[in-house]
Amino acid sequence: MAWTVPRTWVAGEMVTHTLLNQDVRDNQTAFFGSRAIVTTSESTTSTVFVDLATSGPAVTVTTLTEAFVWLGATYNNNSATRHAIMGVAVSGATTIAASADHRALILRAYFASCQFSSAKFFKQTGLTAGSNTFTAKYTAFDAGTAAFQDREMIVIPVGLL
Amino acid sequence: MSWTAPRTWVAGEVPTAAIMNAHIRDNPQALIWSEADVQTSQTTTSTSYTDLATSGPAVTLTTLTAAYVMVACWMSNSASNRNAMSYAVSGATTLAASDTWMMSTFNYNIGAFQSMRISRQVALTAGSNTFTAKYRTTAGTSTFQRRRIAVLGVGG
Repeated sequence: MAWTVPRTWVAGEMVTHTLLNQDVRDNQTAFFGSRAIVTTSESTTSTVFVDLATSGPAVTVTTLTEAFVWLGATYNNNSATRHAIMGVAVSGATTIAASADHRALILRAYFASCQFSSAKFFKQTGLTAGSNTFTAKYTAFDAGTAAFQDREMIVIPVGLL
Repeated sequence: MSWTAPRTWVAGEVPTAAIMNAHIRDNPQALIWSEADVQTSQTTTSTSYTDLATSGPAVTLTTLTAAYVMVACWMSNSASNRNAMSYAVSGATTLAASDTWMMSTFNYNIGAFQSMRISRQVALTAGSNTFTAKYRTTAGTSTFQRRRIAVLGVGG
């Protein structure tokens, strides 16, 4: 069910089932979000964003021009002071590459193999309205082997644009 | 206010007060997170999930079969070990705390972290469910404070 910018109701208008299904049923359903998880522990030595042996998780949703995204994982790097980064790329109606910034879950290991489990929440703007696929991507960024497990992504395609 | 799966409206029907209250009044309110927190700093040496001296925090709400759950706290360890905060579910559902949805940090000696984890729990039985924070360490003594749990009981 796709999100629609909530309409302004007008005095005296006839409220049809079509309007209720769009503005009540579908918009409330959009708040469920779409979620995917890959529990398998896998790793990469790549210094650029790549897929792991099991790609994803990935979520395909119909959006307007913005959506809320959560990333979560348990992650580490086997080399001291090196990174483990989980980002997200967008494809479909929109093309946006993964990036190591506010759109990523980032760890810089104090020493070898110290492991963290946490989440990152952000608002993805700049989307082209339509069917968009959000796919998790991974990198060790500078060196070492970055490992990730219980990799979860949630996308809630709501917004006022 | 509990969540009801959004209904499909039908041409020509007369919406009753009960329908409007469930879908126009109650469902938007169900989009408000239910939260609880325990500020007290307490410790554990348990390597399996357990309660602290003050259990929780815990949230009870009526859900369908899925919910969003957020756990957050400030945590540290007496040495270089890992601390973990997760949650268990009781009531209509019985689900033990698990590393699959934990939030954890690895502390180097006296270092400390404030962090959070949000996950979607899809293994619920519809009904009244209580989400209770649980804690463990991998070794040493883990300390937890400013402990918060929040649940959004939508979907499913």
